[in-house]
Amino acid sequence: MAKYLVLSDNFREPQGSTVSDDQLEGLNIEALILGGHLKAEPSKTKTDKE
Amino acid sequence: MAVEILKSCSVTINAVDLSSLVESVQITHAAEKVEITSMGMTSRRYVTGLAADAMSINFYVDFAASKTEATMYPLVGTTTTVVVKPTSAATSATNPTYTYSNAFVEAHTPLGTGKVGEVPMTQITLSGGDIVKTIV
Repeated sequence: MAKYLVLSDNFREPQGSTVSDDQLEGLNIEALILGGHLKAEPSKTKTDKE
Repeated sequence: MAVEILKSCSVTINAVDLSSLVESVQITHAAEKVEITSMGMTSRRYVTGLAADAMSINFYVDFAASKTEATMYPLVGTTTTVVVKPTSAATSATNPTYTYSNAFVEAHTPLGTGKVGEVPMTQITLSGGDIVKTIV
């Protein structure tokens, strides 16, 4: 599941918070990124350490 | 008679609050009529066709980060969700919320008419999709 950092102060979710795909249903995510409202968070990969 | 004077409409496009830059907003909740008039009838008859909802919003242009231009330009030719309320107060019977889903953004005019000495206004035209009114 992709996550996004909220950059702007006029988006529905608070600035600085992180939102996921399912919270953005019905919205145009690409336009929000291009408009400077959201920034895609890098996905974390699991590493197995023994 | 209680007459509503619009002073603080709430307008969010793609979940971005642009209310402070809105000059006017027009909501058109409509349905196409399909004619079924046949011989023997003395007047025309219609049935409901497809929904034909639409919306038009006039904004003051603001090229600053996250304002009208940054928000609207990437939306042209795509679909989004627009939410409009008569006031910014909580949704109620006297302050209904109109949610326009799958709205196709037809056009955006970044400099308005581009006349010298005028404040540029951009008009956003949306069509398609469905407008749903909620009061709770």
